[in-house]
Amino acid sequence: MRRLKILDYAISSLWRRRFKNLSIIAVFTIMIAVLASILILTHSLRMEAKEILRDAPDVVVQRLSGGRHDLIPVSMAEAIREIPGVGEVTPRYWGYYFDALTGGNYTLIGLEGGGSPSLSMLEGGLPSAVASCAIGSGVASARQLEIGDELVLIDSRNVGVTFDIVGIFVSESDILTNDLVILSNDDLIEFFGLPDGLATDISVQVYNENEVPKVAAKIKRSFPETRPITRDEILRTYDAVFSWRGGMLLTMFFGALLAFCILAWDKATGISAEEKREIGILKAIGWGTGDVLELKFWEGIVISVTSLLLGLILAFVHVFIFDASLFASVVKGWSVLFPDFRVTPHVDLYQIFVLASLTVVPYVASTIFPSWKAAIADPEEVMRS
Amino acid sequence: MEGRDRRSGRGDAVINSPDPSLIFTEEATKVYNPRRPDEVCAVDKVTVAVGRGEVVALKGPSGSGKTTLLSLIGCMARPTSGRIVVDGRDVAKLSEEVLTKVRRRKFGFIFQQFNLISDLTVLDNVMLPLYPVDVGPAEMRRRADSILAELGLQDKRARRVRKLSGGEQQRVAVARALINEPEIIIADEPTAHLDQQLSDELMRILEDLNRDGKTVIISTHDALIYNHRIVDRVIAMRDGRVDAGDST
Amino acid sequence: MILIKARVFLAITVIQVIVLAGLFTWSMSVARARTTEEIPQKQELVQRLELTDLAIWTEARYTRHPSQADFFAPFQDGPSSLEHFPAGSVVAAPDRSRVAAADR
Repeated sequence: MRRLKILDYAISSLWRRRFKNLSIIAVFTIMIAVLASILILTHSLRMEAKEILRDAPDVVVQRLSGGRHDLIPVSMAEAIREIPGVGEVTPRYWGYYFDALTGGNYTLIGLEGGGSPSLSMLEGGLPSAVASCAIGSGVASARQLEIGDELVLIDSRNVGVTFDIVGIFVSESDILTNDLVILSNDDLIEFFGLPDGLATDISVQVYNENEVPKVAAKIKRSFPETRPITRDEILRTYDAVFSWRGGMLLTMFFGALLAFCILAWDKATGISAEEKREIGILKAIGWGTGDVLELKFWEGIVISVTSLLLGLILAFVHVFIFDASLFASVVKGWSVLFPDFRVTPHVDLYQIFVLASLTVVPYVASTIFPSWKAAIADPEEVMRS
Repeated sequence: MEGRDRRSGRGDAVINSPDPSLIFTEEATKVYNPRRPDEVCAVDKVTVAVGRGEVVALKGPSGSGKTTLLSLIGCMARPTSGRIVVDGRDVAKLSEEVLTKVRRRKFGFIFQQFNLISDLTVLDNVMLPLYPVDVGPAEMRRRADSILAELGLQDKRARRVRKLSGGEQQRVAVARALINEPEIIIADEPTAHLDQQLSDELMRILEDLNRDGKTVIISTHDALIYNHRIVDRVIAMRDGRVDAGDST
Repeated sequence: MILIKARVFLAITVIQVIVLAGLFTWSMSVARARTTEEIPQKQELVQRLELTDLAIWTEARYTRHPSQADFFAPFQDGPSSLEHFPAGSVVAAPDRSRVAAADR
């Protein structure tokens, strides 16, 4: 009951400076919402990448020339196939296409074997005949295309090439397919004018997952000019890309958090003469040191817990209902085609607890500590100064 | 003072005093900023006693140490040396916690500046001393209402103190001093900011309280107050000392 | 009503916690539903098209395919050149420790 009464008084006390305190709650809430959005979004993206890239090629072998990624001789695939433990070895044909019309970059991927079986996230089918293609929904909306329309791309000889659109990937798969244009291998080789016997890179299947590093090392030894990229490395790349330590955004907002702490500290340490007098009055009329500190504790809790909860709710709604749309413009950079972050919600409670303790604890501390000196002094001394 | 029968309890000295005084100070001294160039001895070896039910006026010019002496008596400050005994306990030796309890139970303060929290309502201000105490909110409200009614403030209870007149504020301060049902009322220059009529009114209130058995200690430099009929005794102060020649 | 402010605060806090818990359980159920429905379909895409990367940033090779990028692609062929594409500052540098280990 006593605790409840002091809480009640703390709220009356905060309500007296409601403009200031509501502003603090607003700023605090936005800051927590932004930080939590980043944490939740990156965590969800990381989990999603981990799950869906689990079936990426075991090893992708690139050839390096002058330190750059270069086309790789298809004959190398034969040699790799000889390595024990290696299953299917497939030369991959793919490349980038800058679409001057929309200013977007497309990723063109050649596919062997054509149409069947079709994919569940593809409306229509995969290209089976010559001069047909399947496109991502980002490409479709940028060029305003539908199945049955024609996609005209300018090839390396500056000749317009027409592809019939036989399939469009559903927008739920945007995070993988947004900018894709799937052609048959022959069309792609023809379109890019790739020299005979050269592929973009080679994907290698390894039967036993544990042997992947060994196979990769063996490839590297046999073909020193190549760079084998294992699936594990792909996964770790995404782990790093979306790690909470990575990314300028977090650095930026960590800065904002620190700035807020400094603000809170400054606000609180510069305890005003008015507040000091109040503490003196409270002590004079029979409040003890503990009572005054408890009052300050509640004042800090009311502001920080309200902000924390509000911020977390906003973050959830922002990331999972509005697909983190506020971030898109920041994260997007110059990408013309940019998917919605329609991520599978994953929440790391540990991160949330860290966020909570990094925001509530410093705020409460910066509310209590400055009052400490006034609270432990004799009331007469506090009121006199 | 010699030969007094003493018995010391755990930390807080309980004194079986033959003196029936509710409060007495023995060579109480308060030095501000000790051992510094701006050292000030506000109260210098003051020995006074106040009996139960007495009305005592401390008179003297400003800077004579009246307020400091009241602070010492009211357990708002600790003496640099000497003893302050309230109801048989040497308060200088009490722990912070016990001191707070003594302050809460024994004393009601009326300050010169009223010392109200001006953005809160009258009711909140009056109930303020009861927040950290184990008194239920309904009881708090009941006590505050009855005191406000006695002081004629029942219509103002939801008003913010800032919007009240000086006299009303003073009555709110009185109400706040009474809410914890103290034995001793300490009033520091309570009429300094009041006109004649309001001063009279305040003195009437204090008179009523005294009739109910409360001990009242007032500091003042206003002759109308220390010569008032309710004042039993005047202690004159000058330069931090009791001016024996002028006290009655 | 007594102690109304404290009660209002506690009520608001409880409501916030309930909303948060609701959002949390909702997100969990969505996650479960998607894990059973969409994730296998996406895995199918990855497998069939031999995809290696997420199609998030399309502005540069090394942001479109971070896992396939040249070691120094972000430096635009010169170690002292500054990051050119905005998204490059959001994408952390690829982890090369394992590559270096494999090389040895």
